[in-house]
Amino acid sequence: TTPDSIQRQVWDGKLPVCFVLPEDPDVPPLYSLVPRVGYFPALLDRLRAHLSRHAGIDEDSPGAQQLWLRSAGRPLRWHLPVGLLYDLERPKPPPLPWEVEIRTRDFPTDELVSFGPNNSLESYFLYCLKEADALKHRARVINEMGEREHRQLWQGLLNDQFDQFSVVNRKLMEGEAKYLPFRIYQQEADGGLSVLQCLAKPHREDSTPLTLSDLLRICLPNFTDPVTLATHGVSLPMETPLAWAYDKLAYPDNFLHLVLQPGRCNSAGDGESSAMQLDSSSES
Amino acid sequence: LSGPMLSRSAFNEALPQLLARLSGRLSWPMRLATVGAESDTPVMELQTSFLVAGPAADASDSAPVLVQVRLHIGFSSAYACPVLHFCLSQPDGVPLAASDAADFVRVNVESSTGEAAGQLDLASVLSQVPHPQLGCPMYTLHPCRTAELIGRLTSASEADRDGSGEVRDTNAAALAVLSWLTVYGRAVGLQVPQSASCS
Repeated sequence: TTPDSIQRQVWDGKLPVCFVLPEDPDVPPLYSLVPRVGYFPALLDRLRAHLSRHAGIDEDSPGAQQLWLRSAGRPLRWHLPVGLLYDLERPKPPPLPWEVEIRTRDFPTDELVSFGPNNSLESYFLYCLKEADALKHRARVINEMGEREHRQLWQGLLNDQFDQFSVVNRKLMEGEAKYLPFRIYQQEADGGLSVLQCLAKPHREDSTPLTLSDLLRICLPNFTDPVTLATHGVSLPMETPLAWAYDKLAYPDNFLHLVLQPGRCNSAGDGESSAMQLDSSSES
Repeated sequence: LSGPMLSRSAFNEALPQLLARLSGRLSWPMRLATVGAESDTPVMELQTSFLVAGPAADASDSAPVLVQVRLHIGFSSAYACPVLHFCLSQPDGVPLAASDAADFVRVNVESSTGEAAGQLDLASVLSQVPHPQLGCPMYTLHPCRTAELIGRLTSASEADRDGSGEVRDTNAAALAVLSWLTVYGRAVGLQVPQSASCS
């Protein structure tokens, strides 16, 4: 199966970000179009180079090495994809370009994963892929792939090479899945993040496709408030089959990351400028 | 997978027995904690904290370097097997630098297995990740090969008497987790005494 236009649109989604250094207002901001499916730590080298050039902060200095990012006064949980972080911002996604603060002091060691030479973003990405494949195929497919193919997935993502990524990812995405990898996120008012994950099969007991409604009932058995599930800035109708949503809208880490929002789904979409317009003729 | 699989509920049921077997023989505080929920099943862990000798900072040090290990023994539904999450810090609470944490695990693994330094690709199995329920950064050993080990352990213990493919015997589950911990705990300097597996 070849990747279709929805998967390509998901891959191509980008957010304009403006990185500022509040510690030194004379430093010019760094503007970047960041892939929604990418990760902020992949930009660390660029940010350090920027600070070195404009803020006199040497790339090897503790400040540059202990660099972290903040938005709306809270550390950015940068192990999560960029687009998910944007969609989680409360009370609503910030205006674009998204202003993100660079911090060089007081790295929040009890809140943020530290990425560096001893804990690479690449190995974390692989950790996510392995877990997703464990859910789908008891890790058989990812374990059968050699290191070369693992590297190709990462390099494809890092270098924005959809074809390079897809030719390997196809193997992970095809075939019958035992359970579908997903997570449901809810940003709390106090800044905390609740993450729900449970075992969900693609079909109900009667073999009809499991829907997002069914999923909510499994994950939040006693929940009664009207809510919406959204991904890539787009609200999904609750009758959407989970398997379809997974196939079209999973992130490169092979998880479907869903944001739980209060209120009913507006089937016309969010109308946010960052939202991806789904090409309805691609729906199967 | 060769043996019957552990489920989260079987793991939860085995935890009190695991706690009983360990707390009598290890002098550290241990407790059961519920850290979240997966559908309507509680996500439970056995949590403990202990001091162990760390890798020597330099060969001429006469005083042993101590490392505070905060260990959470939990369960991964994705892999259907137990999983370790841990924090490493100096005795005063300052987290170990990433390179020191990697050295700590490497030295522990080498001294348990006798494997030479160059052969172990630690980066492919040790990562700092957000704890799945608590969210805080913790180290973990990738469970990818653990499921295989647990399968062998449960198979050997004849834990699937009703042929369901799932471990339903709490005693068997506790012993399988204990055997797994005896192996994997070594990576963080945890020595499980043999007496823990006796009735």
